[in-house]
Amino acid sequence: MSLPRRIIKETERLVSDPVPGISAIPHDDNLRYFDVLIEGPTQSPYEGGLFKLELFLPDDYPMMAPKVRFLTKIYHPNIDRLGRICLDVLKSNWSPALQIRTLLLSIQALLASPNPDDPLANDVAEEWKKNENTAIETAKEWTRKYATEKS
Amino acid sequence: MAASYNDDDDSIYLQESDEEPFEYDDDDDDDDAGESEFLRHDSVGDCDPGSAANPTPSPAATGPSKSLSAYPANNPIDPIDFQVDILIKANQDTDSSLNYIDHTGYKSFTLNSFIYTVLFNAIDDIKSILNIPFNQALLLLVYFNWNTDSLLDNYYNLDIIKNRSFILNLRLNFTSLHNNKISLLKDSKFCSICCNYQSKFYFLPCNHNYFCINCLRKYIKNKILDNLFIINCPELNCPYLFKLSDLNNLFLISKAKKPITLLYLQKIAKSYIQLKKDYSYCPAPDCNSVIQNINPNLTHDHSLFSFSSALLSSIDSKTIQNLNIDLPIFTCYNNHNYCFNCRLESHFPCPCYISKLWVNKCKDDSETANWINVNTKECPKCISSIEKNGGCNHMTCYKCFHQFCWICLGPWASHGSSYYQCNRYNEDDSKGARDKKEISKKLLKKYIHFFDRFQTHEISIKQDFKIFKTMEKTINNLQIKTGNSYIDFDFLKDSIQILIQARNVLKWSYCLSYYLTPESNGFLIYEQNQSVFMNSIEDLSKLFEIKEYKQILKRKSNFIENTRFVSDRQKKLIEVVQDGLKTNFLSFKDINTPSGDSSNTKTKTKA
Repeated sequence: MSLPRRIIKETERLVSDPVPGISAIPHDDNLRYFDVLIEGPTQSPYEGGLFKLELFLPDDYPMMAPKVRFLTKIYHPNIDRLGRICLDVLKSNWSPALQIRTLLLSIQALLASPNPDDPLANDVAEEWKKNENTAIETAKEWTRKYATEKS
Repeated sequence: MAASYNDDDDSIYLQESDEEPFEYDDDDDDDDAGESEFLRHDSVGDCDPGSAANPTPSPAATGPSKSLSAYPANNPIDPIDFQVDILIKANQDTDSSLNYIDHTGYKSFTLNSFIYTVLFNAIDDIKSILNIPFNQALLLLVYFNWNTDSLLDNYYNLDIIKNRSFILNLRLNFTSLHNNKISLLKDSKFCSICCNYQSKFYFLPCNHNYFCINCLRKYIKNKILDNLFIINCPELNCPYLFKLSDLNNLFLISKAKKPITLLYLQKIAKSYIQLKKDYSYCPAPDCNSVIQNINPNLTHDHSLFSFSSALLSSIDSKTIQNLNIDLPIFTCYNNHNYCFNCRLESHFPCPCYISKLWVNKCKDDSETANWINVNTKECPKCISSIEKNGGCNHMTCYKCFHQFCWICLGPWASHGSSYYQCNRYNEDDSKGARDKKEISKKLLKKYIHFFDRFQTHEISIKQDFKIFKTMEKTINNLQIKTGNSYIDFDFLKDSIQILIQARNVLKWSYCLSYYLTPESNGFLIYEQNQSVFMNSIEDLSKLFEIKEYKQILKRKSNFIENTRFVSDRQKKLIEVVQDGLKTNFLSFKDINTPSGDSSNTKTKTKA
């Protein structure tokens, strides 16, 4: 099946006009599968980290949201151990007018402002609510441990 | 802002649509361009500047009138006309879809007649109370889950922020009438969804006119199939809502077999049925009937009848005694017999919970049961099976809106800060599990015995049903051969129907046998009755083996007698059970919670 024009266009733009702090590169053998790198936002516990994600465009994209998952371990109340993300635009609030770039920006924004009131990783969320400072320290530590160049 | 919500909305709406119900006039287009300027308020401030600069209705207006005529009703359809429109379509599906049958305590509709009567009446009520257009009333009702009281409470009282933004937006959506059209452009334009250059566009009053009509159709269809009925313009945060008339216009020339507006209304109707306790679908496959329970006395306490494993263990023998077996069996539009409470087939003489136990037991080994067991949990409040398809563990049941924790099934409210209680191991539970295993071993033999009989009669019913289906033909043949009239053979039809019914009762009586306490006088009496009943059935069944037409006429009296006897015995058996359960002559024992119990409706819930 040939690739829809929409995906070609988006890919072209992602390469020619990349979003600062985010890169998304499609696989050569599967142009619907992207390797994504997101920089941890400044002023957040994830600052300085570089997070790897995978992104897949399903057959009915753009009517259906892309499937996105963190590959780098991350300590975040809305991201679970398997890297799954609890984000409205990935689910009910997806609209075909959104794009890969806008979606990745939303994920970056989620890193900047975690939402422990609607958690996916319960233990993290609990810690985040009970003892925010410790939670932020753990997040920073995980960022150092798993999301920096050395590791 | 509030000043712009005047009461004239409705009058404008009706007036305009009355003017030109189904005409298409090119000259109007310039006015539309002006009208589509509406909705320029803050929340659309971030819309694409390109489209605002290029509203393009004028090229459409000057476009070739020939191609425009391919799209007939360009004007918004008067709500009343629209109903008629739907009605006509609905009538194409079934000839007499507007009729319903009154049955004891139950009213049966086809899905389409349900939409036309119940759904439209509810909308019309709101429409006249609030003096708002039909489409607005529909969206309001959808938003408030068809809860008229909460709708009326909240419509003017805008204290709740979530509701306020929706209601204000909805009012704004209806402040002016917009002539949305499908337009053919002279030059093709870039569609920002499919990224192709297209020439067919649908002009939205919010000026997000860069979605081609194919993409919009796909978008809307996806939403409807996802059971989302409040459909915004695809542009992020755009407050424009698609109306029924939009759907109608957009899909007017599409080749879809089922008109999308009808699909939309049917989906809405289905959600309505799920929300209201006194409505239910007919559970038969491919049967589109809707059942309404109109006799409040027949509304059984659901918590007693629909059981869950947790509930069942708490049912003591006393509670069971108090349950009688006046089953809420309804007959749907297509003559299917089902139980309103447990949605099983007619299961006299078994009470609902016993039948359900039995059915689940029989299903235990089947793949479906395994799947349900592994992949679903039950809503702790309404016992719907729920499949978790992603998201976090904070669940909200689609059916009863109960919020609970997926891990421990406890209410979510208490989870504010104590997630770890879900993880505590319960010693008692594991002990119980071991005991259960031993009991089930003993019960297995007994179970096989009764299941064998249950199944044999089920197969017999299927065979009898074949006789029933060919009965008309048989009678016709007999008429020709004997020269007698149709009425002379009418008894055959009655007999076979009674036979099938009786077999069904007999079949279910084996289920009851399995669960009743065997060592009691009551049980002996019951067994005796069952045995007599069974023999009567076999006698009647034997008569149907006669193929010789002269013999059939000769034994007409045997047919009639045996049929009467079968009905009598059936009535007697049911009475015995009913009285037995009431007076504690019959009691249940060893009710073992089955591992996988599936419940009536499957609702998918998202986090």
